[in-house]
Amino acid sequence: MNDQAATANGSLYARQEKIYAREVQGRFTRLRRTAAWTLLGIYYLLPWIPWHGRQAVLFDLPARQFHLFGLTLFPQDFFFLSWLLIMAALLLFLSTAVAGRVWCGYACPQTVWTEAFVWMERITEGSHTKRRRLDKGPWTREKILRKTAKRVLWILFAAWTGFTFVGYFTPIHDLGARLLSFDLGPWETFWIAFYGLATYGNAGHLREQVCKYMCPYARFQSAMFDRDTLIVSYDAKRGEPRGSRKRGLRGADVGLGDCIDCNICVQVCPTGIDIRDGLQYECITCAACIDACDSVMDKMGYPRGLIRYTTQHALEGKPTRILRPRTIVYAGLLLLLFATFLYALAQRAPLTVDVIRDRNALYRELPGGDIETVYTVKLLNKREQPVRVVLEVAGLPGLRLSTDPPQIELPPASVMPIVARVRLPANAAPPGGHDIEFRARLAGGGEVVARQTARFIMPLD
Amino acid sequence: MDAGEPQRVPQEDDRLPEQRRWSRRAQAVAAVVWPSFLAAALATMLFFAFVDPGEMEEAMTHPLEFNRMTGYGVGFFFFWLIALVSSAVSVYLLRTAHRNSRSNGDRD
Ligand code: SF4
Ligand code: SF4
Repeated sequence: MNDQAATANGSLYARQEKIYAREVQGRFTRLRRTAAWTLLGIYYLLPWIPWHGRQAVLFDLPARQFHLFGLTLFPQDFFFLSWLLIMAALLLFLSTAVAGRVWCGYACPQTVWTEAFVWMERITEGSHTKRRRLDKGPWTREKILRKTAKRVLWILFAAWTGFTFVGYFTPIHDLGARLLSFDLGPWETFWIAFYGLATYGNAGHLREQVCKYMCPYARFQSAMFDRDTLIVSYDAKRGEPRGSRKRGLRGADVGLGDCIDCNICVQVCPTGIDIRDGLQYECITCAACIDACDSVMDKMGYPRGLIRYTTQHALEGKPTRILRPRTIVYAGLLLLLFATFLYALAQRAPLTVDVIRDRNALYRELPGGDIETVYTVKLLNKREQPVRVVLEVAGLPGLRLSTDPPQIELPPASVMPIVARVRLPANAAPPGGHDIEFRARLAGGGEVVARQTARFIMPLD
Repeated sequence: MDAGEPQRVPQEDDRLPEQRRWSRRAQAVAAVVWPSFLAAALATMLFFAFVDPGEMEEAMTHPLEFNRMTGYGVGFFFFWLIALVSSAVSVYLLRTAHRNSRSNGDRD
């Protein structure tokens, strides 16, 4: 490197320090910030949205029912929930095959919260350079103030995150009221602290280390990659041989490629890799290096896109196909699952009956010679409207059933345990167990909306 | 890509804490704690979709005083513990595999 180049290089460095150094500007950075703030907004606001007098999204663990806007799911509907999760996984596969790690770059909670924590760090400790100087410097008043401010912001934000998290599982209005009157239950307190702490650690301290060393998806996503997948890549053909040069000089003039070897792409990379070494599993395709490199290209007067979103095929000068066996299979499966999901949802029984025999006695012999068994019948109304039903029992001639009250009014989306006494004259059936059927009929002689079999035991003597 | 090119590797000092490489030990701890946490979350969901901790208590001969939230909480940490132990043993086996056969020294 001759002296002139060194000076040019040096001045370029000085400029970088001032302008970029980790704080990147550019279209992808803007896109990422927009995505992050939108997702954060949804996360913190969603539990506060009401829906017909209750929380719109509430995974009510104490009551064992899940509310998703107009839909209420019970443990009996576990199928739907697992179906939803499988669909989410397939969607992730599909998006990975087509667009690479867009999830990582723009939507993963790890990325989104890291973005927020880094932002808080920036407004308190300043830019990357200031932060480093602050870290190395002595404990001045300013350092103490800035560091404390950061921690306080982080802790408040993390606590609010934990509170919101628990608010998805128990009604958030009550939770808030109890928080303000210092009346939280031990588990609520614990989970708020636990989730808050996890957020603080993961987003404040570990950041992209989570992606590099802890995240399973980061390691197996390459299985969904092929040569048509969108990746962040350095155009080596155009960039090499890299080298510094005076501003205003074309690469061709000095026998170099377009990469001026300023190393900015490495400095801004949150996972600390050099994208010019080729595709690496650490790369979360955050596109920070694209924005950084584009601004260098602008400054040099070179065309943008030395580092860009592209595909292996495009880099090799071949066409990129979005439709290919892999994506067709993922998309087809996804459609199929979605259709089955909708169909099953439409077919879902609006009411179910669960019958549990009294644990303490198989049967009772009543003074009049009747045999009586007591059951707990759990009636589950999945609809958003109240419903009135009567219980009936069938399967043996002479069976009589009584419930209290005889007509049962079920509130919307609720479970109601009903004690049901079933009697049969002692000689009406042979000894041993018999299958009987409980039926729930809409009140006023309507149709049977649910049925469930149970055992009725006759004494042996 | 251009292995022969001299490349400027940023100084360790240049890097922010989150850009630095972790030690093998730290990597091992992370690889044990986090996936087992995810596994425990999944197991808790599956298990308590079918089992109501409220009914579990009724079924006990000597019911302990607890509510559903305690059931979920204890269940989660129980599953996490099991998964932690299993992952830790796996890592231990992998990390000690070559210690006794030096000829097969592809450690780093
Ligand atoms: S690597 Fe894992 S943790 Fe990191 S952004 Fe991607 S999915 Fe999230
Ligand atoms: S190389 Fe680094 S900066 Fe560039 S996209 Fe990948 S993770 Fe982001």
